[in-house]
Amino acid sequence: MYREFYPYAIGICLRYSRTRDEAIEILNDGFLKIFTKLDHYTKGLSFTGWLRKVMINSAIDYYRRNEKHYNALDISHVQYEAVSETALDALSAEEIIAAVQKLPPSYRMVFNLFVIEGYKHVEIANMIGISVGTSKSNLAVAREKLKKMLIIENDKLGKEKNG
Amino acid sequence: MDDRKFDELLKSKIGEYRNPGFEPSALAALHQKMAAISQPWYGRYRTELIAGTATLLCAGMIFLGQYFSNRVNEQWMATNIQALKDQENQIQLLKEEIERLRNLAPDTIRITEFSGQDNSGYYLLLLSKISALERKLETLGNPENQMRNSQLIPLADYNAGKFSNSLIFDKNESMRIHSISRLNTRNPEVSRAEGKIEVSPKEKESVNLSAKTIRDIEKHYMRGVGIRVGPAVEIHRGFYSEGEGAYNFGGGIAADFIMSPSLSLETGVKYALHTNKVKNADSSNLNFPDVDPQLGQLNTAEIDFYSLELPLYLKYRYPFSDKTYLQTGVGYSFFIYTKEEFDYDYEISGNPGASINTLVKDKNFTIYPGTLNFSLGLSKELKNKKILETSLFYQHGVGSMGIEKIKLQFLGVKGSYWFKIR
Repeated sequence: MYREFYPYAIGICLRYSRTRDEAIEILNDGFLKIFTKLDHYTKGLSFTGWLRKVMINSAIDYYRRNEKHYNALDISHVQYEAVSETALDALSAEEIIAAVQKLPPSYRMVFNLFVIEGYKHVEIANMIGISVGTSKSNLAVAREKLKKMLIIENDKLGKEKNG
Repeated sequence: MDDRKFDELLKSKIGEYRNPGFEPSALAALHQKMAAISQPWYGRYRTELIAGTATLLCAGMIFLGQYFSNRVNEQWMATNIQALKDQENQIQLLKEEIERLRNLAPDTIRITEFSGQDNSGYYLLLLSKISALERKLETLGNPENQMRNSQLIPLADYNAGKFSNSLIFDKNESMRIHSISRLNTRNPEVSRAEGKIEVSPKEKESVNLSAKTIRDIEKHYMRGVGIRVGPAVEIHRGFYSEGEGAYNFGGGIAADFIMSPSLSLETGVKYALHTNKVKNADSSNLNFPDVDPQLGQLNTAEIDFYSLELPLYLKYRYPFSDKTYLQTGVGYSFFIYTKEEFDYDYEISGNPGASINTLVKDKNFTIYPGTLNFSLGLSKELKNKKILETSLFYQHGVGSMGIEKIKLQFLGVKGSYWFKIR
């Protein structure tokens, strides 16, 4: 089962972590929950859906455990960048995930939960113990930082192709 | 590009991303993690072991209580046995005195019997003394009888002459026989056969005593506060401000401090499970933790909570007979929640038949306002001197309890098996 669902599960965990090692730790926490609480899974429903939920919860737990070690970031340097659709298309999923991983933990968490998983700000605020306002502000900063990083990444890619 | 477009593009690119390949080191790390947290073989029986240990501890306490209580009784018995031996010697001397009187020449007997009330009184006194000593002998041999047989005459009374004064003296020839027959009526173990007074074992009388007499006897023999302990089990049904309760069991250990013949204070510790099933939980006013609307509409929520209860009852006892009592009590229970589980059943939107279950647990020890308690029941002393008590109880919750903030009431039946400690 571990081998079967590894590619899907690690894909989720990578988005919520800073490094691959961190992702593996979240992944294994998730699988541990799955193995010990398999009786909570309702037969007939999508197993991948349940697995996805467990992995996200593991990522949130990991974030909460390590929250005190994360440093607060100054967001005054945020600048609004414009990124084009074609620039995004040119980048691979791995490159985008690498950019997401570079985001500060609290921004990365809010970004993933809102943009990829589709949670609302109120729910995110309850999940990770922040205010709705902070969730909104983190998302805005995360977006702008990501746009900036993706532009830089895209430029690098263009230079490599040209040069 | 606006934010929405940007989000959609990113979601489509990385939302369902699958990492190619497999890393054996990740699996090895999982194995390590599992080995680190794997429980020893007895870990899975943790709850049973705790319950077993608690039971053994309680049993040990009861056993030690009984043991020390028996030791005190043994010392008391030894002292009394010695006293009884002395009394037996006295009885023997008295019997010899009776024989000597009976064997006197007829003239002497007549002179002795008719010469005055004092000598007749002396003869009857001897008979009554034998009777009283025999009674005392039996009473001291079995201390429990002291409580039961209210007709026993204390030795002090006898010595003070109260007992002899209760006899009726007839100044005629049949006085002696008449008096002995009166004694026989009062005291069946003394009989006259073939001109000799014989002492035979007394059969136990069944005595129906009034409530007042029983109270007086208990009051007379009461020395300080009585203590009894024992296991208590109950079955109860919960009635909640929302949802439907179920029949649940509880059990624990209880102690009863007997303050007076009619009043006692019961306390102890009780562990119980309570179940409540809330239908249409989505529209409920209760506070359900960690509900995930993404999973669908919350259909039902089953709440299981485990409570540790510390009750304090003031009980009033009214005797029906010397072994059966009517008991009524009023009290208060402190409530500590040890665990609360919320089993949610979501109905997946757009797919009415399908549902998904999630379980949310809260294992924090939380103290809540308790319950006001009322009870009514019977207690009966069994042949082995232990007491079986059964009662109907009602508990009314004070304030809201649990994470969900529910108001509750319980109705149930409780049984206790008491061991006397003091």
